[in-house]
Amino acid sequence: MSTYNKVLNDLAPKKFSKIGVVWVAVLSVVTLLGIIAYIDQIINGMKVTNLRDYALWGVYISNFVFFVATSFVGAITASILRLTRRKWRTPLVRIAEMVSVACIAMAGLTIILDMGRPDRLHYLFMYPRLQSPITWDVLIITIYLTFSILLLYIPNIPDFALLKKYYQHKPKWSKFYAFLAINWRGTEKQKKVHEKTIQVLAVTMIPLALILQTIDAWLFSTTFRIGWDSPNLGAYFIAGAFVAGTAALIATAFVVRKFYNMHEYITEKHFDKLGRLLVLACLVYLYFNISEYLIPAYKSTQGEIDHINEMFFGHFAWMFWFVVGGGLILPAILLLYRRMRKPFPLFIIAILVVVTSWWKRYVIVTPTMLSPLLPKQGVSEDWSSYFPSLHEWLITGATLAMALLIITILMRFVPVIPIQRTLDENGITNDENDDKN
Amino acid sequence: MKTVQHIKWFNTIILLIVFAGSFIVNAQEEKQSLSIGLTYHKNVGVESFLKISTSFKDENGWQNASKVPFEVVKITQEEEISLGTGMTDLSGRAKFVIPTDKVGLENSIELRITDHPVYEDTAEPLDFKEVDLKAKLNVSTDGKQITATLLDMEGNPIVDEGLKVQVKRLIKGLPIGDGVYYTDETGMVVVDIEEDYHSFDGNLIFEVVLEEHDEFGTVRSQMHADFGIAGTDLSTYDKRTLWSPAGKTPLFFLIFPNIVLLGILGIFVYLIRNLIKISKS
Repeated sequence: MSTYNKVLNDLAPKKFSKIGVVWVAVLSVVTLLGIIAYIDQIINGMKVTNLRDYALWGVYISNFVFFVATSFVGAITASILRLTRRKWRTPLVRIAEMVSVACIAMAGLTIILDMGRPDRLHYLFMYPRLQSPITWDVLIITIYLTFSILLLYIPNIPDFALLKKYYQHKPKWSKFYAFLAINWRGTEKQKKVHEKTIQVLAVTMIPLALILQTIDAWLFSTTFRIGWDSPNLGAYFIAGAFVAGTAALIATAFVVRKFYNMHEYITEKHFDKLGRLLVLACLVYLYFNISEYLIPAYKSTQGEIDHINEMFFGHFAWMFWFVVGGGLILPAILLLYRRMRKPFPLFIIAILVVVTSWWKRYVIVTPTMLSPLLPKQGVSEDWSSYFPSLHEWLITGATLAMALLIITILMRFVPVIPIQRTLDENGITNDENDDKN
Repeated sequence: MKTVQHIKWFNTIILLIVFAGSFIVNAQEEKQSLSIGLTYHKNVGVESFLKISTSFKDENGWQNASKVPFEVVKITQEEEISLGTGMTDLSGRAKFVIPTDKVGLENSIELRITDHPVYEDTAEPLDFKEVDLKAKLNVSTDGKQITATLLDMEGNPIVDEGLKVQVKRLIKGLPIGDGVYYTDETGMVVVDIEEDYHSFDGNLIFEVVLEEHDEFGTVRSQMHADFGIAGTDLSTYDKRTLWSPAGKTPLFFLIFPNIVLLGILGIFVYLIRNLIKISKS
């Protein structure tokens, strides 16, 4: 078999293995349970959640912020690494774009899940108030989702053309990929337009990603609440997204490498580079964390100091220290050692960072909600605390499962590693065709 | 078998007793007694009316009796004249305007509630006399002054009677000076207005009130003036603010995000155009 055919065979989308089928089945069951819980939430109203007057943003919004943060990964790898011409990124770009599309799609969906009257969703578009950060958020999520899909699709066009030929013995698939390839023949003119289009898209994605994270932060910082009232929150959220996105990319890349047998393409060198990137991300985020807590602690206004005490030593202390210690300090120290940047240890660390990134959003949202500036009066005692109900957990679990399901299904139909670019970068050509020519 | 038959008969009798018992209890249920509040009010030169309130007492204390129909009757030595009917509102209150030609020097009124399914038949009498309260606002270079005279309908002064002098406000009058002034031997009070009073548009309403008098009821005389200090309108209703509706979005928020949106739309169109170019080339 020629090198060309080997690369094509290796990188063309494959049927799910048995493990893959079980994986999809498990995700589908979790999704189904969430859908049932959501239907019950629609029928009985938000009372099935533990969201009340004070904790009116709970696990749904925490989950939303997590998805928005993780979607940042597409911009990091696909755009920043592209524009800085880092060639090692090639096998990771597509994975990052898939994670990005799945996460931003689920972020949009999670907002709807948090709405008491989702039937009025269209009001956001029909009667928008441009003064409201909610309107900015709705706009930027829609735009970012659209551009993320384009960023996943457009660079794939040459690969779809290759797959059209590759699946010639399967007419249905060939037709499907021919449709996606939009008549790509690899002419000089097409290549020129294609390259220019990707360049513009990559440049556009960076400000869009920054705007997305910043608006997400402004949803919080434009409200006068303890813990959120900070002009640094935009940068803080971007740094957090950098951590969550990189960790999600590492974890997904490891799974792809193992289960799609891509050891030849996603090498230890890639994990080493991603590990270094994660250290940088953790240190930057740690800096912003210190800034976010140190200054209010130094000023020690009554509300802020109560809030910080609650986080450092009170009810949320275990979550807070798990997030900061396990999700930032420990990874930053461990990843300084080369052996910890090997695929498996790095995967474990990345999973830890992803989990703590999720809890970090919970720690950002919930304690502030439970620390209103006005005294709590005339409400039952249990409204002063919050922990998600079973409905909330099932629905949140379903959104996480759906995100993984989207990534899994995309991997079934779209090459996880760019085929054409891999061929080009390694100077591999189709000798049979060349001979014929 | 016989035992079963006995049980059936026994059950039937018990049911009949319970049914008949509840019927008797319902039939004997007494109507509730009603408490009526009835006061006479007169706005000089405007209207005379009755303020009515109805309430009843249950295990939770006093409750307003809402939607209770009533009739107002004027009683003279010769006859009873119906002045009209009305109904209390949801808070158990009503205002009944007495036709001007039906108010005499001495009046005997009765409010009657009859044939109500819930409340007992009740009648509340009220006697009142007419009184003449004349108030005048004097504005000169020396100052501003309110003079009020309280006379009976034969022109005799009513002496040593307390009159409230105040500026009308939304909830409760704002007292001028001491607030209550007593009529002298001529039935007169003279009150200097020494302070400046604020109002929305500079217009003020001064009031002289004889309040809750046993014989005359509440009598109020009003005077209008335009020397109040007009307030500054702080409303931002017509301005473009962060909290205004979509139609009054501040220009910055209208222009800047729309420029960004148009820019993004432009890039989107460019990308789609390039895709079409790729497809057709």
